[in-house]
Amino acid sequence: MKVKRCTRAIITAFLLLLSSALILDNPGLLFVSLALWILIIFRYFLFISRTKSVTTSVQIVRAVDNIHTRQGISRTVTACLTITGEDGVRAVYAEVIPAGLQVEDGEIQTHSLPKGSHELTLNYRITPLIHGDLKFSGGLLTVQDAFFETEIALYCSSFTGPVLHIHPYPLFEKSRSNSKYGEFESYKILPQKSSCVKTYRKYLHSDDSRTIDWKLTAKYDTLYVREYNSLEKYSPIIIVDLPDLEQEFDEKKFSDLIRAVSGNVEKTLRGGSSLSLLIISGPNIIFSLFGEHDLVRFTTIISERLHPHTRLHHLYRSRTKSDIRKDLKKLSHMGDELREDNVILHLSRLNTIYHQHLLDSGINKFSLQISRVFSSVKPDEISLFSLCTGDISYIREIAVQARYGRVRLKVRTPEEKNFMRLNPLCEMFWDGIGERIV
Amino acid sequence: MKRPSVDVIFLVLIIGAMLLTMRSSLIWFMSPLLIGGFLYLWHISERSSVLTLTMLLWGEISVAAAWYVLPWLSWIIQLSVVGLFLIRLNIFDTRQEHIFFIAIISVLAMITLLIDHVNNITIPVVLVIGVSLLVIVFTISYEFRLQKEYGDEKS
Repeated sequence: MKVKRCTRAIITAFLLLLSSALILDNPGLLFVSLALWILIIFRYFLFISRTKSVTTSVQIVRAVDNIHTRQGISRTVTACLTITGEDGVRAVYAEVIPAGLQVEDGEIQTHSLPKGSHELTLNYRITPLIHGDLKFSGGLLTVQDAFFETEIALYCSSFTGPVLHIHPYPLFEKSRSNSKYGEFESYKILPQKSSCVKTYRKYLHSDDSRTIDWKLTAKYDTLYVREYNSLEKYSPIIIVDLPDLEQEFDEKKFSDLIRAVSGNVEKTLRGGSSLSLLIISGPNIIFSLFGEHDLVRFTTIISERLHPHTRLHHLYRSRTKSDIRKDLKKLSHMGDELREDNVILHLSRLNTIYHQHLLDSGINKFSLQISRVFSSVKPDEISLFSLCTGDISYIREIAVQARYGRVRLKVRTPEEKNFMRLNPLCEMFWDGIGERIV
Repeated sequence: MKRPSVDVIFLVLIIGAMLLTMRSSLIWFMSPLLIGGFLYLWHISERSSVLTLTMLLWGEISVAAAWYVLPWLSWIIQLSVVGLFLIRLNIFDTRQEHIFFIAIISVLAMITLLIDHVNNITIPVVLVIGVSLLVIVFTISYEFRLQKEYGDEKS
Protein backbone atom coordinates (compact mmCIF):
# COMPACT_ATOMS: atom_id res chain seq x y z
CA MET A 1 0.00 0.00 0.00
CA LYS A 2 1.18 3.49 -0.82
CA VAL A 3 0.39 6.51 1.32
CA LYS A 4 -0.32 9.60 -0.77
CA ARG A 5 1.21 13.01 -0.20
CA CYS A 6 -1.92 14.38 1.48
CA THR A 7 -1.91 11.53 3.99
CA ARG A 8 1.82 11.90 4.64
CA ALA A 9 1.28 15.58 5.49
CA ILE A 10 -1.58 14.75 7.88
CA ILE A 11 0.45 12.03 9.62
CA THR A 12 3.40 14.41 10.00
CA ALA A 13 1.09 17.06 11.50
CA PHE A 14 -0.35 14.45 13.87
CA LEU A 15 3.11 13.38 15.08
CA LEU A 16 4.25 16.97 15.60
CA LEU A 17 1.09 17.94 17.48
CA LEU A 18 1.14 14.80 19.60
CA SER A 19 4.75 15.29 20.65
CA SER A 20 4.01 18.98 21.37
CA ALA A 21 0.99 17.96 23.47
CA LEU A 22 3.04 15.48 25.47
CA ILE A 23 5.88 17.95 26.02
CA LEU A 24 3.65 20.95 26.85
CA ASP A 25 1.00 18.87 28.64
CA ASN A 26 -1.62 20.59 26.46
CA PRO A 27 -5.04 18.89 26.03
CA GLY A 28 -6.02 21.24 23.15
CA LEU A 29 -3.12 20.09 21.00
CA LEU A 30 -3.82 16.51 22.01
CA PHE A 31 -7.42 16.79 20.79
CA VAL A 32 -6.30 18.24 17.46
CA SER A 33 -3.64 15.58 16.92
CA LEU A 34 -6.03 12.75 17.81
CA ALA A 35 -8.66 14.19 15.47
CA LEU A 36 -6.21 14.04 12.57
CA TRP A 37 -5.21 10.53 13.56
CA ILE A 38 -8.83 9.33 13.74
CA LEU A 39 -9.50 10.89 10.33
CA ILE A 40 -6.66 8.88 8.74
CA ILE A 41 -7.63 5.65 10.49
CA PHE A 42 -11.22 5.90 9.32
CA ARG A 43 -10.19 6.72 5.76
CA TYR A 44 -7.90 3.71 5.71
CA PHE A 45 -10.65 1.44 6.97
CA LEU A 46 -13.01 2.80 4.32
CA PHE A 47 -10.41 2.43 1.59
CA ILE A 48 -9.72 -1.23 2.41
CA SER A 49 -13.41 -2.11 2.43
CA ARG A 50 -13.89 -0.41 -0.96
CA THR A 51 -10.81 -2.13 -2.38
CA LYS A 52 -12.24 -5.47 -1.32
CA SER A 53 -15.54 -4.70 -3.10
CA VAL A 54 -13.78 -3.66 -6.31
CA THR A 55 -11.48 -6.70 -6.29
CA THR A 56 -14.37 -9.09 -5.72
CA SER A 57 -16.20 -7.66 -8.72
CA VAL A 58 -13.36 -8.28 -11.21
CA GLN A 59 -13.95 -10.97 -13.82
CA ILE A 60 -11.63 -11.68 -16.72
CA VAL A 61 -12.14 -13.91 -19.73
CA ARG A 62 -9.05 -14.10 -21.89
CA ALA A 63 -8.79 -15.69 -25.35
CA VAL A 64 -6.01 -16.10 -27.90
CA ASP A 65 -6.81 -16.53 -31.59
CA ASN A 66 -4.75 -19.73 -31.65
CA ILE A 67 -3.17 -21.29 -28.57
CA HIS A 68 -0.78 -23.34 -30.70
CA THR A 69 1.71 -20.96 -32.20
CA ARG A 70 5.26 -20.75 -33.33
CA GLN A 71 8.07 -18.72 -31.82
CA GLY A 72 8.16 -15.26 -33.41
CA ILE A 73 4.64 -15.37 -34.85
CA SER A 74 2.23 -12.72 -33.54
CA ARG A 75 -1.07 -13.68 -31.99
CA THR A 76 -4.03 -11.57 -30.95
CA VAL A 77 -5.20 -11.70 -27.35
CA THR A 78 -8.65 -10.53 -26.32
CA ALA A 79 -9.30 -9.99 -22.62
CA CYS A 80 -12.90 -9.24 -21.65
CA LEU A 81 -13.00 -7.51 -18.29
CA THR A 82 -15.96 -6.89 -16.02
CA ILE A 83 -15.39 -4.61 -13.03
CA THR A 84 -17.58 -2.57 -10.71
CA GLY A 85 -16.12 0.66 -9.39
CA GLU A 86 -16.93 1.96 -5.92
CA ASP A 87 -17.68 5.41 -4.51
CA GLY A 88 -14.66 7.60 -3.98
CA VAL A 89 -12.09 5.20 -5.46
CA ARG A 90 -10.72 4.77 -8.95
CA ALA A 91 -9.53 1.46 -10.32
CA VAL A 92 -7.09 0.63 -13.11
CA TYR A 93 -6.63 -2.88 -14.41
CA ALA A 94 -3.45 -3.87 -16.29
CA GLU A 95 -2.62 -7.20 -17.89
CA VAL A 96 0.55 -8.93 -16.70
CA ILE A 97 2.44 -10.26 -19.68
CA PRO A 98 4.44 -13.40 -18.91
CA ALA A 99 8.19 -13.28 -19.44
CA GLY A 100 8.99 -14.49 -22.93
CA LEU A 101 6.11 -12.71 -24.61
CA GLN A 102 6.50 -9.32 -26.22
CA VAL A 103 3.57 -6.96 -26.69
CA GLU A 104 3.48 -5.64 -30.25
CA ASP A 105 0.56 -3.26 -30.14
CA GLY A 106 -2.85 -2.74 -28.58
CA GLU A 107 -3.99 -1.88 -25.07
CA ILE A 108 -2.99 -3.88 -22.01
CA GLN A 109 -4.32 -1.40 -19.45
CA THR A 110 -7.68 0.20 -18.83
CA HIS A 111 -8.17 3.87 -18.17
CA SER A 112 -9.06 5.04 -14.67
CA LEU A 113 -12.47 3.51 -13.92
CA PRO A 114 -14.90 5.51 -11.74
CA LYS A 115 -17.97 4.27 -9.86
CA GLY A 116 -20.30 1.93 -11.73
CA SER A 117 -20.25 -1.30 -13.66
CA HIS A 118 -17.81 -1.48 -16.56
CA GLU A 119 -17.45 -4.07 -19.29
CA LEU A 120 -14.26 -3.56 -21.25
CA THR A 121 -12.31 -5.44 -23.87
CA LEU A 122 -8.54 -5.23 -24.12
CA ASN A 123 -7.11 -6.25 -27.47
CA TYR A 124 -3.40 -6.63 -27.99
CA ARG A 125 -0.92 -8.56 -30.07
CA ILE A 126 1.87 -10.60 -28.58
CA THR A 127 4.92 -12.24 -30.08
CA PRO A 128 6.44 -15.24 -28.30
CA LEU A 129 10.21 -14.91 -27.96
CA ILE A 130 10.78 -18.29 -26.34
CA HIS A 131 9.27 -21.71 -26.93
CA GLY A 132 7.45 -23.95 -24.51
CA ASP A 133 4.18 -23.61 -22.64
CA LEU A 134 3.41 -20.13 -21.32
CA LYS A 135 0.43 -19.36 -19.16
CA PHE A 136 -1.11 -15.90 -18.96
CA SER A 137 -0.48 -15.04 -15.35
CA GLY A 138 -3.35 -12.65 -14.64
CA GLY A 139 -3.35 -8.93 -14.03
CA LEU A 140 -2.75 -6.10 -11.61
CA LEU A 141 -5.57 -4.09 -10.13
CA THR A 142 -4.63 -0.65 -8.84
CA VAL A 143 -7.16 1.01 -6.55
CA GLN A 144 -6.67 4.54 -5.28
CA ASP A 145 -8.49 7.35 -3.54
CA ALA A 146 -7.37 10.77 -2.29
CA PHE A 147 -5.44 9.25 0.64
CA PHE A 148 -4.21 5.77 -0.27
CA GLU A 149 -3.25 3.61 -3.21
CA THR A 150 -2.87 -0.15 -3.36
CA GLU A 151 -2.07 -2.76 -5.95
CA ILE A 152 -3.75 -6.15 -5.86
CA ALA A 153 -2.11 -8.91 -7.89
CA LEU A 154 -4.80 -11.04 -9.49
CA TYR A 155 -2.86 -14.26 -9.97
CA CYS A 156 -5.35 -16.85 -8.76
CA SER A 157 -6.68 -19.46 -11.16
CA SER A 158 -9.84 -17.56 -12.10
CA PHE A 159 -7.74 -14.75 -13.61
CA THR A 160 -5.02 -16.78 -15.32
CA GLY A 161 -4.85 -18.69 -18.57
CA PRO A 162 -5.09 -19.76 -21.29
CA VAL A 163 -1.85 -21.67 -21.80
CA LEU A 164 -0.03 -20.76 -24.98
CA HIS A 165 1.79 -23.68 -26.61
CA ILE A 166 4.75 -22.18 -28.44
CA HIS A 167 6.64 -24.37 -30.84
CA PRO A 168 10.25 -23.53 -31.60
CA TYR A 169 11.29 -21.64 -34.66
CA PRO A 170 12.76 -24.07 -37.17
CA LEU A 171 16.34 -22.81 -37.11
CA PHE A 172 17.93 -25.91 -38.56
CA GLU A 173 15.38 -26.88 -41.14
CA LYS A 174 16.28 -27.33 -44.76
CA SER A 175 15.58 -24.38 -46.98
CA ARG A 176 12.41 -24.63 -49.02
CA SER A 177 13.06 -26.23 -52.33
CA ASN A 178 10.97 -26.20 -55.46
CA SER A 179 10.58 -29.53 -57.13
CA LYS A 180 10.64 -29.73 -60.88
CA TYR A 181 7.92 -32.35 -61.08
CA GLY A 182 4.87 -30.14 -60.68
CA GLU A 183 5.07 -29.92 -56.89
CA PHE A 184 6.67 -27.62 -54.36
CA GLU A 185 7.11 -27.65 -50.62
CA SER A 186 5.37 -25.14 -48.42
CA TYR A 187 4.93 -24.33 -44.72
CA LYS A 188 1.15 -24.49 -44.93
CA ILE A 189 -0.49 -27.32 -43.01
CA LEU A 190 -1.82 -29.60 -45.70
CA PRO A 191 -2.66 -33.31 -45.85
CA GLN A 192 0.06 -34.07 -48.35
CA LYS A 193 3.51 -34.15 -46.75
CA SER A 194 6.91 -34.07 -48.36
CA SER A 195 9.84 -36.12 -47.16
CA CYS A 196 11.71 -33.10 -45.78
CA VAL A 197 11.63 -32.70 -42.01
CA LYS A 198 10.68 -29.13 -41.18
CA THR A 199 11.34 -29.29 -37.44
CA TYR A 200 11.18 -31.40 -34.32
CA ARG A 201 8.88 -30.59 -31.45
CA LYS A 202 7.49 -32.14 -28.29
CA TYR A 203 4.68 -34.61 -28.63
CA LEU A 204 1.21 -33.18 -28.17
CA HIS A 205 -1.95 -35.07 -27.46
CA SER A 206 -3.61 -36.18 -30.75
CA ASP A 207 -0.32 -36.20 -32.69
CA ASP A 208 0.11 -39.11 -35.05
CA SER A 209 2.23 -41.74 -33.31
CA ARG A 210 3.91 -42.57 -36.62
CA THR A 211 5.63 -39.19 -36.58
CA ILE A 212 7.41 -39.88 -33.26
CA ASP A 213 11.16 -39.64 -33.62
CA TRP A 214 12.36 -42.51 -31.48
CA LYS A 215 16.02 -41.52 -31.54
CA LEU A 216 15.37 -38.09 -30.03
CA THR A 217 12.78 -39.56 -27.68
CA ALA A 218 15.29 -42.07 -26.34
CA LYS A 219 18.00 -39.43 -26.05
CA TYR A 220 15.98 -36.91 -24.05
CA ASP A 221 13.47 -39.28 -22.45
CA THR A 222 10.63 -37.13 -23.79
CA LEU A 223 8.40 -37.83 -26.75
CA TYR A 224 9.49 -35.83 -29.80
CA VAL A 225 7.71 -35.77 -33.14
CA ARG A 226 8.87 -34.82 -36.61
CA GLU A 227 7.07 -32.13 -38.57
CA TYR A 228 7.30 -32.41 -42.31
CA ASN A 229 6.97 -29.77 -44.96
CA SER A 230 3.71 -29.83 -46.86
CA LEU A 231 3.58 -30.55 -50.55
CA GLU A 232 1.60 -28.41 -52.93
CA LYS A 233 1.05 -28.91 -56.63
CA TYR A 234 1.64 -26.20 -59.12
CA SER A 235 -1.61 -25.17 -60.74
CA PRO A 236 -1.79 -23.24 -63.97
CA ILE A 237 -3.62 -19.95 -64.16
CA ILE A 238 -5.74 -18.76 -67.03
CA ILE A 239 -6.08 -15.02 -67.53
CA VAL A 240 -8.92 -13.93 -69.79
CA ASP A 241 -8.79 -10.38 -71.07
CA LEU A 242 -12.29 -9.12 -71.90
CA PRO A 243 -12.63 -6.46 -74.60
CA ASP A 244 -13.76 -2.95 -73.77
CA LEU A 245 -17.55 -2.59 -73.98
CA GLU A 246 -17.21 0.95 -75.31
CA GLN A 247 -14.81 0.01 -78.09
CA GLU A 248 -15.50 -1.95 -81.24
CA PHE A 249 -14.37 -5.56 -81.29
CA ASP A 250 -14.81 -8.60 -83.49
CA GLU A 251 -17.54 -10.72 -81.91
CA LYS A 252 -16.61 -13.82 -83.87
CA LYS A 253 -13.06 -13.67 -82.63
CA PHE A 254 -14.30 -13.10 -79.11
CA SER A 255 -16.54 -16.18 -79.28
CA ASP A 256 -13.54 -18.14 -80.63
CA LEU A 257 -11.55 -16.89 -77.65
CA ILE A 258 -14.23 -18.03 -75.20
CA ARG A 259 -14.39 -21.42 -76.86
CA ALA A 260 -10.62 -21.69 -76.56
CA VAL A 261 -10.81 -20.79 -72.87
CA SER A 262 -13.49 -23.44 -72.27
CA GLY A 263 -11.43 -26.06 -74.07
CA ASN A 264 -8.31 -25.18 -72.12
CA VAL A 265 -10.15 -25.29 -68.79
CA GLU A 266 -11.71 -28.65 -69.55
CA LYS A 267 -8.43 -30.14 -70.74
CA THR A 268 -6.56 -28.97 -67.62
CA LEU A 269 -9.22 -30.16 -65.18
CA ARG A 270 -9.51 -33.55 -66.82
CA GLY A 271 -5.78 -33.91 -66.30
CA GLY A 272 -6.50 -33.95 -62.54
CA SER A 273 -4.92 -30.60 -61.73
CA SER A 274 -6.61 -27.64 -60.08
CA LEU A 275 -6.91 -24.42 -62.02
CA SER A 276 -7.02 -20.73 -61.25
CA LEU A 277 -8.93 -18.23 -63.35
CA LEU A 278 -8.42 -14.49 -63.47
CA ILE A 279 -10.74 -12.36 -65.56
CA ILE A 280 -9.49 -8.92 -66.46
CA SER A 281 -10.54 -6.15 -68.79
CA GLY A 282 -7.47 -4.15 -69.58
CA PRO A 283 -5.83 -3.20 -66.26
CA ASN A 284 -9.08 -3.88 -64.33
CA ILE A 285 -9.45 -7.13 -62.41
CA ILE A 286 -13.05 -8.32 -62.80
CA PHE A 287 -13.12 -11.73 -61.16
CA SER A 288 -10.76 -14.30 -59.68
CA LEU A 289 -11.05 -17.95 -58.71
CA PHE A 290 -8.08 -19.84 -57.29
CA GLY A 291 -7.31 -23.55 -57.01
CA GLU A 292 -10.67 -24.85 -58.19
CA HIS A 293 -11.30 -28.42 -59.42
CA ASP A 294 -14.99 -28.18 -60.27
CA LEU A 295 -15.63 -28.04 -64.01
CA VAL A 296 -19.30 -27.11 -63.55
CA ARG A 297 -18.29 -24.05 -61.59
CA PHE A 298 -15.88 -22.98 -64.30
CA THR A 299 -18.58 -23.51 -66.96
CA THR A 300 -21.00 -21.34 -65.00
CA ILE A 301 -18.40 -18.60 -64.59
CA ILE A 302 -17.48 -18.70 -68.28
CA SER A 303 -21.12 -18.37 -69.33
CA GLU A 304 -21.94 -15.66 -66.80
CA ARG A 305 -18.78 -13.59 -66.64
CA LEU A 306 -17.07 -13.71 -70.01
CA HIS A 307 -18.75 -10.74 -71.65
CA PRO A 308 -17.28 -7.42 -72.78
CA HIS A 309 -16.74 -5.15 -69.81
CA THR A 310 -16.38 -1.42 -69.29
CA ARG A 311 -12.77 -0.49 -68.61
CA LEU A 312 -12.61 2.04 -65.83
CA HIS A 313 -8.82 2.30 -65.82
CA HIS A 314 -6.28 2.38 -68.63
CA LEU A 315 -2.52 2.26 -68.76
CA TYR A 316 -2.04 4.38 -71.89
CA ARG A 317 0.29 6.80 -70.25
CA SER A 318 2.12 4.59 -67.82
CA ARG A 319 5.63 3.41 -68.37
CA THR A 320 7.88 1.51 -66.04
CA LYS A 321 10.79 3.38 -64.51
CA SER A 322 13.31 0.91 -65.88
CA ASP A 323 12.02 1.60 -69.42
CA ILE A 324 12.23 5.32 -68.86
CA ARG A 325 15.81 4.98 -67.69
CA LYS A 326 16.63 2.98 -70.82
CA ASP A 327 15.01 5.68 -72.98
CA LEU A 328 16.96 8.35 -71.16
CA LYS A 329 20.19 6.52 -71.96
CA LYS A 330 19.21 6.31 -75.61
CA LEU A 331 18.27 9.99 -75.64
CA SER A 332 21.63 11.00 -74.23
CA HIS A 333 23.43 9.01 -76.95
CA MET A 334 21.21 10.42 -79.69
CA GLY A 335 21.77 13.96 -78.46
CA ASP A 336 25.52 13.60 -79.04
CA GLU A 337 25.05 12.62 -82.65
CA LEU A 338 22.29 14.99 -83.79
CA ARG A 339 22.86 18.59 -84.78
CA GLU A 340 19.37 19.77 -85.90
CA ASP A 341 17.86 22.31 -83.52
CA ASN A 342 14.26 21.04 -83.74
CA VAL A 343 15.27 17.50 -82.95
CA ILE A 344 17.51 18.61 -80.09
CA LEU A 345 14.66 20.70 -78.71
CA HIS A 346 12.29 17.74 -78.94
CA LEU A 347 14.77 15.45 -77.24
CA SER A 348 15.47 17.92 -74.46
CA ARG A 349 11.72 18.22 -73.82
CA LEU A 350 11.40 14.45 -73.70
CA ASN A 351 14.35 14.37 -71.35
CA THR A 352 12.64 16.85 -69.00
CA ILE A 353 9.36 14.93 -69.09
CA TYR A 354 11.08 11.64 -68.39
CA HIS A 355 13.03 13.09 -65.49
CA GLN A 356 9.84 14.53 -63.99
CA HIS A 357 8.19 11.14 -64.37
CA LEU A 358 11.09 9.43 -62.64
CA LEU A 359 10.68 11.72 -59.64
CA ASP A 360 6.99 10.82 -59.40
CA SER A 361 6.55 7.98 -56.90
CA GLY A 362 3.23 6.74 -58.33
CA ILE A 363 2.76 2.97 -58.11
CA ASN A 364 1.00 0.99 -60.76
CA LYS A 365 -1.90 -0.62 -58.89
CA PHE A 366 -2.52 -3.24 -61.54
CA SER A 367 1.08 -4.47 -61.29
CA LEU A 368 0.75 -4.78 -57.54
CA GLN A 369 -2.48 -6.73 -57.87
CA ILE A 370 -1.01 -9.10 -60.45
CA SER A 371 2.11 -9.54 -58.33
CA ARG A 372 -0.03 -10.48 -55.33
CA VAL A 373 -2.03 -12.95 -57.36
CA PHE A 374 1.09 -14.65 -58.70
CA SER A 375 2.74 -14.81 -55.28
CA SER A 376 -0.34 -16.35 -53.67
CA VAL A 377 -1.27 -18.79 -56.45
CA LYS A 378 2.31 -19.74 -57.45
CA PRO A 379 1.35 -20.88 -60.95
CA ASP A 380 3.69 -22.98 -63.06
CA GLU A 381 2.19 -21.61 -66.27
CA ILE A 382 0.10 -18.60 -67.22
CA SER A 383 -2.17 -18.68 -70.24
CA LEU A 384 -3.36 -15.25 -71.26
CA PHE A 385 -6.31 -15.14 -73.65
CA SER A 386 -6.75 -11.73 -75.20
CA LEU A 387 -7.99 -10.11 -78.39
CA CYS A 388 -5.04 -7.71 -78.08
CA THR A 389 -7.03 -4.74 -79.39
CA GLY A 390 -6.17 -1.18 -78.50
CA ASP A 391 -3.68 -0.49 -75.76
CA ILE A 392 -1.81 -3.60 -74.59
CA SER A 393 0.50 -2.08 -72.02
CA TYR A 394 -1.23 -4.05 -69.25
CA ILE A 395 -0.13 -7.28 -71.00
CA ARG A 396 3.37 -5.94 -70.69
CA GLU A 397 2.84 -5.56 -66.93
CA ILE A 398 1.65 -9.17 -66.68
CA ALA A 399 4.68 -10.28 -68.68
CA VAL A 400 7.03 -8.38 -66.38
CA GLN A 401 5.48 -9.92 -63.27
CA ALA A 402 5.62 -13.38 -64.84
CA ARG A 403 9.30 -12.85 -65.57
CA TYR A 404 9.95 -11.78 -61.98
CA GLY A 405 8.17 -14.93 -60.76
CA ARG A 406 10.04 -17.10 -63.29
CA VAL A 407 6.74 -18.36 -64.66
CA ARG A 408 6.11 -19.32 -68.27
CA LEU A 409 3.58 -17.04 -69.96
CA LYS A 410 1.63 -18.02 -73.05
CA VAL A 411 -0.24 -15.25 -74.83
CA ARG A 412 -3.07 -16.65 -76.91
CA THR A 413 -4.52 -14.34 -79.53
CA PRO A 414 -6.88 -14.69 -82.56
CA GLU A 415 -5.53 -16.16 -85.79
CA GLU A 416 -5.14 -13.00 -87.83
CA LYS A 417 -3.56 -10.98 -85.09
CA ASN A 418 -0.43 -9.20 -86.04
CA PHE A 419 2.19 -10.73 -83.79
CA MET A 420 4.59 -7.98 -84.60
CA ARG A 421 2.78 -5.90 -81.99
CA LEU A 422 3.57 -8.50 -79.38
CA ASN A 423 7.11 -9.21 -80.38
CA PRO A 424 8.71 -6.59 -78.15
CA LEU A 425 6.75 -8.10 -75.27
CA CYS A 426 7.66 -11.64 -76.12
CA GLU A 427 11.31 -10.75 -75.83
CA MET A 428 10.74 -10.03 -72.19
CA PHE A 429 8.92 -13.23 -71.33
CA TRP A 430 10.64 -15.89 -69.38
CA ASP A 431 9.57 -18.43 -71.94
CA GLY A 432 7.40 -16.20 -74.04
CA ILE A 433 5.36 -17.83 -76.73
CA GLY A 434 2.76 -16.07 -78.84
CA GLU A 435 0.37 -18.84 -79.73
CA ARG A 436 -2.63 -18.79 -82.01
CA ILE A 437 -5.92 -20.00 -80.67
CA VAL A 438 -6.90 -22.30 -83.49
CA MET B 1 -37.74 27.82 0.98
CA LYS B 2 -34.41 26.79 -0.37
CA ARG B 3 -32.40 24.64 2.06
CA PRO B 4 -28.90 25.89 2.75
CA SER B 5 -26.14 23.67 1.44
CA VAL B 6 -24.00 21.64 3.84
CA ASP B 7 -20.88 23.73 3.27
CA VAL B 8 -22.76 26.91 4.26
CA ILE B 9 -23.95 25.21 7.47
CA PHE B 10 -20.37 24.18 8.30
CA LEU B 11 -19.05 27.69 7.58
CA VAL B 12 -21.73 29.24 9.78
CA LEU B 13 -20.85 26.78 12.58
CA ILE B 14 -17.16 27.68 12.36
CA ILE B 15 -17.75 31.42 12.31
CA GLY B 16 -20.31 31.20 15.13
CA ALA B 17 -18.01 29.06 17.29
CA MET B 18 -15.06 31.38 16.69
CA LEU B 19 -17.15 34.44 17.55
CA LEU B 20 -18.14 32.79 20.83
CA THR B 21 -14.47 32.06 21.45
CA MET B 22 -13.65 35.73 20.85
CA ARG B 23 -15.99 36.79 23.65
CA SER B 24 -14.24 34.95 26.43
CA SER B 25 -10.75 34.11 25.27
CA LEU B 26 -7.58 35.85 26.34
CA ILE B 27 -6.35 35.62 22.79
CA TRP B 28 -9.55 37.04 21.31
CA PHE B 29 -7.55 39.09 18.78
CA MET B 30 -6.49 35.81 17.12
CA SER B 31 -10.08 34.84 16.24
CA PRO B 32 -10.72 37.37 13.40
CA LEU B 33 -7.37 36.42 11.92
CA LEU B 34 -8.21 32.70 12.07
CA ILE B 35 -11.71 33.25 10.64
CA GLY B 36 -10.42 35.47 7.82
CA GLY B 37 -7.59 33.09 6.97
CA PHE B 38 -9.89 30.08 6.97
CA LEU B 39 -12.51 31.75 4.77
CA TYR B 40 -9.83 32.86 2.34
CA LEU B 41 -8.32 29.36 2.19
CA TRP B 42 -11.81 27.88 1.71
CA HIS B 43 -12.35 30.25 -1.19
CA ILE B 44 -9.09 29.45 -2.97
CA SER B 45 -8.79 25.77 -2.04
CA GLU B 46 -10.75 24.78 -5.16
CA ARG B 47 -7.60 25.41 -7.15
CA SER B 48 -5.38 22.67 -5.72
CA SER B 49 -5.29 19.84 -3.21
CA VAL B 50 -2.32 21.48 -1.42
CA LEU B 51 -4.50 24.47 -0.55
CA THR B 52 -7.24 22.10 0.67
CA LEU B 53 -4.75 20.47 3.01
CA THR B 54 -3.55 23.90 4.16
CA MET B 55 -7.18 24.78 4.90
CA LEU B 56 -7.49 21.66 7.07
CA LEU B 57 -4.35 22.46 9.06
CA TRP B 58 -5.38 26.12 9.43
CA GLY B 59 -8.71 24.93 10.77
CA GLU B 60 -6.90 22.75 13.30
CA ILE B 61 -5.25 25.88 14.73
CA SER B 62 -8.74 27.30 15.33
CA VAL B 63 -9.70 24.02 17.04
CA ALA B 64 -6.68 24.25 19.38
CA ALA B 65 -7.43 27.92 20.11
CA ALA B 66 -11.11 27.18 20.92
CA TRP B 67 -10.23 24.37 23.37
CA TYR B 68 -9.29 26.86 26.09
CA VAL B 69 -12.73 28.47 26.02
CA LEU B 70 -14.89 25.36 25.82
CA PRO B 71 -13.92 21.85 24.62
CA TRP B 72 -17.32 21.38 22.92
CA LEU B 73 -16.80 24.54 20.85
CA SER B 74 -13.57 22.96 19.78
CA TRP B 75 -15.49 19.80 18.81
CA ILE B 76 -17.97 21.83 16.73
CA ILE B 77 -15.16 23.56 14.86
CA GLN B 78 -13.43 20.22 14.35
CA LEU B 79 -16.46 18.57 12.76
CA SER B 80 -17.01 21.60 10.51
CA VAL B 81 -13.35 21.64 9.41
CA VAL B 82 -13.35 17.92 8.64
CA GLY B 83 -16.69 18.25 6.84
CA LEU B 84 -15.45 21.13 4.69
CA PHE B 85 -12.24 19.23 3.97
CA LEU B 86 -14.23 16.23 2.72
CA ILE B 87 -16.51 18.49 0.68
CA ARG B 88 -13.49 20.07 -1.00
CA LEU B 89 -12.19 16.60 -1.88
CA ASN B 90 -15.57 15.85 -3.54
CA ILE B 91 -16.11 12.76 -1.42
CA PHE B 92 -18.90 14.00 0.85
CA ASP B 93 -21.76 13.10 -1.43
CA THR B 94 -22.62 9.47 -0.73
CA ARG B 95 -24.51 7.67 1.99
CA GLN B 96 -21.41 5.71 2.99
CA GLU B 97 -19.46 8.97 3.44
CA HIS B 98 -22.23 10.44 5.58
CA ILE B 99 -22.16 7.39 7.86
CA PHE B 100 -18.38 7.65 7.98
CA PHE B 101 -18.64 11.33 8.94
CA ILE B 102 -21.16 10.62 11.71
CA ALA B 103 -18.86 7.86 13.01
CA ILE B 104 -15.83 10.14 13.07
CA ILE B 105 -17.60 12.97 14.88
CA SER B 106 -19.00 10.47 17.40
CA VAL B 107 -15.49 9.18 18.13
CA LEU B 108 -14.24 12.78 18.39
CA ALA B 109 -17.05 13.53 20.83
CA MET B 110 -15.96 10.60 22.99
CA ILE B 111 -12.35 11.79 22.86
CA THR B 112 -13.47 15.29 23.84
CA LEU B 113 -15.41 13.85 26.75
CA LEU B 114 -12.47 11.72 27.80
CA ILE B 115 -9.87 14.50 27.66
CA ASP B 116 -12.22 16.94 29.37
CA HIS B 117 -12.97 14.62 32.29
CA VAL B 118 -9.56 13.05 32.78
CA ASN B 119 -7.12 15.62 34.01
CA ASN B 120 -4.22 13.79 32.44
CA ILE B 121 -3.23 13.58 28.80
CA THR B 122 -1.32 10.29 29.02
CA ILE B 123 -4.40 8.11 29.53
CA PRO B 124 -6.31 9.41 26.46
CA VAL B 125 -3.14 9.18 24.34
CA VAL B 126 -2.43 5.60 25.36
CA LEU B 127 -6.07 4.63 24.95
CA VAL B 128 -6.61 6.18 21.54
CA ILE B 129 -3.21 5.14 20.15
CA GLY B 130 -3.75 1.59 21.47
CA VAL B 131 -7.17 1.29 19.86
CA SER B 132 -5.84 2.83 16.64
CA LEU B 133 -2.94 0.40 16.50
CA LEU B 134 -5.34 -2.49 16.94
CA VAL B 135 -7.46 -1.15 14.08
CA ILE B 136 -4.35 -0.69 11.92
CA VAL B 137 -3.11 -4.21 12.65
CA PHE B 138 -6.54 -5.57 11.81
CA THR B 139 -6.79 -3.66 8.51
CA ILE B 140 -3.22 -4.47 7.47
CA SER B 141 -3.78 -8.17 8.12
CA TYR B 142 -7.05 -7.85 6.20
CA GLU B 143 -5.17 -6.32 3.28
CA PHE B 144 -2.53 -9.05 3.38
CA ARG B 145 -5.21 -11.69 3.39
CA LEU B 146 -6.80 -9.96 0.40
CA GLN B 147 -3.45 -9.94 -1.42
CA LYS B 148 -2.92 -13.59 -0.59
CA GLU B 149 -6.43 -14.61 -1.60
CA TYR B 150 -6.05 -13.19 -5.11
CA GLY B 151 -2.28 -13.36 -5.47
CA ASP B 152 -1.65 -17.05 -4.89
CA GLU B 153 -2.33 -19.40 -7.70
CA LYS B 154 -4.56 -22.23 -6.60
CA SER B 155 -3.46 -25.57 -7.97
